[in-house]
Amino acid sequence: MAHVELNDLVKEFDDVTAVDGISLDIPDESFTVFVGPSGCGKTTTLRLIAGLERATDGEIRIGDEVVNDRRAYERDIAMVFQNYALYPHKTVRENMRFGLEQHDTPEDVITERVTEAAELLQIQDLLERKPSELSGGQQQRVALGRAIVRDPAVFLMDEPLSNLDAKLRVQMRAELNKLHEELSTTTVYVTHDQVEAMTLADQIAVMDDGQIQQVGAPTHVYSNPRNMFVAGFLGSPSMNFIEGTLERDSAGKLQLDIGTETHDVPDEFDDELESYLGDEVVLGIRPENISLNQDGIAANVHPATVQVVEPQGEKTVLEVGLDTGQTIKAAVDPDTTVQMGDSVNLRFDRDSLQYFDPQTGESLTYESKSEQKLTA
Amino acid sequence: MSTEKQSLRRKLDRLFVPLTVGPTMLWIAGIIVYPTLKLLWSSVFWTNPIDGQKEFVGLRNFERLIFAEGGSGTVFGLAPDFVSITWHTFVYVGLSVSISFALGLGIALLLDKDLKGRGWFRTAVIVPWILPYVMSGLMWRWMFNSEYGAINGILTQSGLLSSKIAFFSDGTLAMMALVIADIWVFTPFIIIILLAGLQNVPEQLYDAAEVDGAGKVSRFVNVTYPFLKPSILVALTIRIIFDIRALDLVWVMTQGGPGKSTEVWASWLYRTAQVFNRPGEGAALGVVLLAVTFLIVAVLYRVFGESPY
Amino acid sequence: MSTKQSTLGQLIAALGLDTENEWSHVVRERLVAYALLGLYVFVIWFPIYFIFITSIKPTSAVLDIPISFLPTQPTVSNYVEIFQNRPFELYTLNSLIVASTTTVICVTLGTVTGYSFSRYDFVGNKTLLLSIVGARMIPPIALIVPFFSIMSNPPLIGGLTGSLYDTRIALILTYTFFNLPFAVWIMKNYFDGVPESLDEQARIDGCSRWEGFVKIILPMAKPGIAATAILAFIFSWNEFVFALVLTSSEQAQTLPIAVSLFVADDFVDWAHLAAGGMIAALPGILFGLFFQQYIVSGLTQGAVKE
Repeated sequence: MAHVELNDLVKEFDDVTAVDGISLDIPDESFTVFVGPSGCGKTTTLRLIAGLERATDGEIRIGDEVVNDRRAYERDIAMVFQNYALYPHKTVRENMRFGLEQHDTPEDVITERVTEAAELLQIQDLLERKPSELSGGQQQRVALGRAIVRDPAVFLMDEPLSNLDAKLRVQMRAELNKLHEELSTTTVYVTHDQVEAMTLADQIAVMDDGQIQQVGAPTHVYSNPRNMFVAGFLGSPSMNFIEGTLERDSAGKLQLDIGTETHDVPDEFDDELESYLGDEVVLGIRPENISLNQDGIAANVHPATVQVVEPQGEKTVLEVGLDTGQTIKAAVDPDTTVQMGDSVNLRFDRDSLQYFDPQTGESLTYESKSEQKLTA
Repeated sequence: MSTEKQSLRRKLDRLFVPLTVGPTMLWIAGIIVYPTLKLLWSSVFWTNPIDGQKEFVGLRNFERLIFAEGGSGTVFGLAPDFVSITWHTFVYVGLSVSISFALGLGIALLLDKDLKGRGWFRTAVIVPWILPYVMSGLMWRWMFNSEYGAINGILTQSGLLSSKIAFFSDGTLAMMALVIADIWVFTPFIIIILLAGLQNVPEQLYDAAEVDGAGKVSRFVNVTYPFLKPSILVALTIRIIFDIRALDLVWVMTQGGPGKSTEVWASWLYRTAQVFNRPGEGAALGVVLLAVTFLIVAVLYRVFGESPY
Repeated sequence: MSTKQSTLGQLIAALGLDTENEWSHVVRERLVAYALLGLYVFVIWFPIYFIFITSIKPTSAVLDIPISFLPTQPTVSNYVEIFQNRPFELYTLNSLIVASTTTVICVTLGTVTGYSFSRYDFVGNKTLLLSIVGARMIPPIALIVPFFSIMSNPPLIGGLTGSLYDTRIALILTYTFFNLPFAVWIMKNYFDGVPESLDEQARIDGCSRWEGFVKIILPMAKPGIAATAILAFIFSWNEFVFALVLTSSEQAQTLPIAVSLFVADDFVDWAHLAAGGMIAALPGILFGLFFQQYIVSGLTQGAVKE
């Protein structure tokens, strides 16, 4: 077991910078997930840790040792590839044994580990089969088994679930969780699927454009995004962004003028937002933090027209048009009776509001919200 | 693992590319590049057939072959042999390639259908291409034999003809026999390449076209052809450049005869270099053939290559 | 009458023509396809049939008029005689040695080099690959003059070997000229289809480049190697032009030359030629019947991804 440390890691391919100065501490026994859109550099980062690519600059530490100059097989890692990379001409057993044999492991240890791993993953009956005779889910298990028998310091997983169908993916996700619980091996996991990232990780690193945008516990990052990219990337349907001008009302309170109406800014943000008075500011609100106001007029209620009703089972997603012309999404109770064309009043949950600088995309309320959480 | 072993292993790994690529490149340099350079070199010398002495003659070999310098009966200043042999080559290659292409495309389209026994048909269709060209050429020479050949046998014994045809005594008929043999040998190649290309056409596109009400022709033009185009290009290119270099069939069937009526570049080159023992001129013809080949490839890729899809 | 009908019915069922009765145009289309394919196969196999029956007719019966299209008195005497009267065992041996040695050289070099071209982005990778594609386009016949002079008086090794004219070595060296670039190209395209993550997994499992190549990649490349080997063997076995230029006696002459030797200026010994031709054609026919898929995949790998 070991922790992994990345210091100012850079990887350039010809004229493209795939990884642009990443620093991250991956604690021992943690399950760290790199998540981001395709081309964000997450897979390259993983391959740098694996030793499949050479870093252009920066430092990679596994345990306490700098491993930049070490080959993949000298790094005490095991990797699970997106396409599983099972050797097609070897049986499941031979696939699992191969890495150990290459590392001159004694025969009795090999046998023992293979048996244990096969039991753990319930693939005892498949050991004599060739990969081509296995289903996708079974191949996935074998790939995991091959990593487990190595008993490495770090597991590296590159989108291991993306080739499975939806149902199997959910099932394997749960199993991966269980497996990590059991083995506690430091795991670095790459995915573009934010649900996978949220459910698996105890540390999530959101990447874009070769850089880490934010690191933290999944729930923390979800509710306290550092910038508009992170806010928009995590969550489905994604966060609504409403642009407006910050001004003071007659009572001296901050409010956001979003065109046809205004929206009161919670008092706690007074300090952060004061300097933006008169400027454009973006209000962020997640769909699930919008509810339908049935009780007649109250403060901070936004009239809107329902354009699309999309029942999803556990919730119903509404696409509603604000009077300003902007369309936003609201996730509401599935029992709702609203229909297309209905006029509704929206109420934004005032504890869940976030404000962003439209130029830089940075969150203006991140500091205060995190503090709030810590003190609470 | 000891560090010593590790560093040895790294050293060996660094040698992987040089050791796997190097020998092949050296081999190719020796067996392709060197002879090609020597070809260019030989083409500017004249070898005295009696004492084997070589004399530098510049481009005279080319001039003699192509322009028949000072000779009589030139066609637009070109040597008559050069003109007629080029014409024969053009006819031979043109007819063989176009007919075998049409035939091959038709058979490939039939074999692409979901038929039972398709594998058997495919095997049966491919075999002619795998036989030695010499054997195929002689086989067709036997087929077209003026007395005992199967074709004359069928035509006369069925009463279609009263007297037998001497195919190889007539220039046009001899060329026809050559073209038929060539088509027989090389159509399988077209079929293989086009059949592979047809497998790239997504089935759904056919369905979509059918739903759109496209007829057979429209389906071929709009769905099949765009996907087949790269295969067509390859099949045609390889077919043409292999045909202009092919000696085997011509040499065993007609030896360029009767007279010079089926003499093509390949047989001319062989005759000049080996039979008449004029290596300089043979080399010059080789240079011409080389240049023509690359020209044809360039033109074909220019015509077909830049496709909008 | 009724039996005839039921036989026809069985045939129709066997060909899958009875399945979708309501789709009569589909059935008709299939019938037409079968008829056309059947006719084509009949026409292209007829000459092979004809030369085959020629080879098993008594020598004198070959020139009978009217021509008999059925083997009335089948005999193997022509086959026996060509081995008795001519050194056909030597020609066959020459063909076997030349074709298999060429194949081994080309497949070995082609496999390792094709792999490196597919996996490693070394300096000059693109240029060298392009030169290999270009080399494939050089018409071999254009080079008969230099090859004749090189083999008669080989540079570098000439002092050791003397003239290579009329030796199997000359043929082997020459045949690698058109087979080696082809082998590199097929294998490169084949390896392009093998996921690189397998190489990477091998590295993680502790393999050096050499071990990964030998233990993991090579066993997977068997179909590609088989395709390359079969094609290289057939091309070398069938080659005629260089054998004609570079050999003059049975110590190096191969079967295609041996067959052509039945043609004299004014007389062709058709019966024995047919027998010799069938022997020369045998590997091709066998490969075609039993390893067709390798030939097809090899050609497709070699050609289509150009």
